[in-house]
Amino acid sequence: MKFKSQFYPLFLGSLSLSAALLLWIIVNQMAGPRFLPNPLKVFEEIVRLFKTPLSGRTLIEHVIFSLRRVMAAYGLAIVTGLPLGLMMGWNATCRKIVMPIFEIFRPIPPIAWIPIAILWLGVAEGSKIYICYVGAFIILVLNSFTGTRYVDPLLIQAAKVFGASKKRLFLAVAVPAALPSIFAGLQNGMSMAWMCVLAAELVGGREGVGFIIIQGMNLDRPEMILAGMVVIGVLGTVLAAFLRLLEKLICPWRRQLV
Amino acid sequence: MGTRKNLTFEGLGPTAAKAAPPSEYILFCQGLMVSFQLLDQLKVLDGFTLGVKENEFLVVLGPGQCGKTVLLNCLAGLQEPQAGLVSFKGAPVRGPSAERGLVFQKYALFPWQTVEENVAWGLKSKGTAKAERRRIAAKYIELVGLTGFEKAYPQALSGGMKQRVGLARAYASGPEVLLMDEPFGALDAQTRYAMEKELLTIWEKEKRTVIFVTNNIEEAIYLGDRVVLMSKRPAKLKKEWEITIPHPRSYTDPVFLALRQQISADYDLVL
Repeated sequence: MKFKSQFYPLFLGSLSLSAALLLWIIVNQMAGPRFLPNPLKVFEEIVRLFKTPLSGRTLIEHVIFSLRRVMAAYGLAIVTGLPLGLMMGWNATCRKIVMPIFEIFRPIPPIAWIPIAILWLGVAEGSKIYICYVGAFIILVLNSFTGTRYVDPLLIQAAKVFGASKKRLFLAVAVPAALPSIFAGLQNGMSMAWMCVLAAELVGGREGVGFIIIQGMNLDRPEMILAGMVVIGVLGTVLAAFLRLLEKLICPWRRQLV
Repeated sequence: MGTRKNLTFEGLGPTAAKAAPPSEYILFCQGLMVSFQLLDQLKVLDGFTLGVKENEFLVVLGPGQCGKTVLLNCLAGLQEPQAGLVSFKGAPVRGPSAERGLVFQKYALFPWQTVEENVAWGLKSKGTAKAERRRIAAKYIELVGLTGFEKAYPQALSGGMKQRVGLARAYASGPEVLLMDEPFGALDAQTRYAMEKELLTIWEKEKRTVIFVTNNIEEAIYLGDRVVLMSKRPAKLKKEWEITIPHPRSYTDPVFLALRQQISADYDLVL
């Protein structure tokens, strides 16, 4: 039982990972490497891509390209989406003005923007960043909106009874109350930005992780496709862990919950 | 909100005329009418009049959903009545104020603030300097017996401890009247008895005017200098009792039990 406390979470976590790996190997053995290359081969491919440039760039450079696009879009989405969402949640007039147009844009998948984004901003960085931006923006607005819209009315009452100014009501009640929802939005927005950058890189571009995957398809090399996918998975996990760490720092009262 | 009739003290109705003159009361409400538009027009309060004297411990007793919380919200200034008047120290109440501190049944503590920050919330609103805030907060945290928990977040506290924080927060904001909305309603019976006892100890040390709302007859008799009984909805003042049993009161004292039986007979049952 003493052993359980320290290593049990690690053990549980490794269960699903090893099961997936096992399944991977079994399918590889049964269906052959054309259907699914074995994990070792994919790992070797990742190492190879590290050393040997593909289309003039190593894996690290491709990752940096994708990461840069995601980060530019994500940062832009935070700067514009969070304030807009907070305002919509907190101010009824603002909500009534913005909601109709937002509702129209919301169901349009970011990928649907690709052609028009290329028309407006060209095939270079601009259109790719724009597509990621649209995806993350919608999610960030929605989450900060619901966060401030559904603040426990009891807490607002308490704040009013003990004399809070309008400014303090917003900054010291609405915003902290919305933080869990905002962080959920930051997580989902990040995933969405990754999804979009891949889609954008699949359509056009000579660099980025999406390009590696497409190149794997064109060169008929399944291990290259999988290498690209694994890199994205690991990168996403690291970024999500970073966001969780950030949430723990900013929301100390939620430490046991996060 | 409907149109609000601004009644003056001169226009007292027959019920209020019998009561003491408003000047005797620190907090006073008269002819309160509050209704909500649900499926039907739901009248919660209809012509409700009540006053509390300075440093009096007034218990408002009433069955569930009879409008006790609405009454307190009106007195706190959180809710505007459609008709009637709330007056505090002779001036009409226009909105909430820390002079009328509220203790909530569901605690309503800010989860993102520590015990100390929660208690000091009202002081910060008033612009009290940080050192002074900490001093006052520490004083009331000690008064409610939570010294050592200053840096804890509400999530880590039990129900009884949370309500102690609620009480300290109300006290620390420097109120003249404490409005308590079934503060121990969510606690288990044992904690509840302990908190009632402790509330009286605290109140003896720091006398304030208290309006304590409850649906529990025992609690009312145990705590109150005066108990007023509300009828079921739309709530009217049904009856009132001066409780002169000296503190500490015992639940098994014959006088206590007799009074309990008397009040029970008048208590409206609501499903």
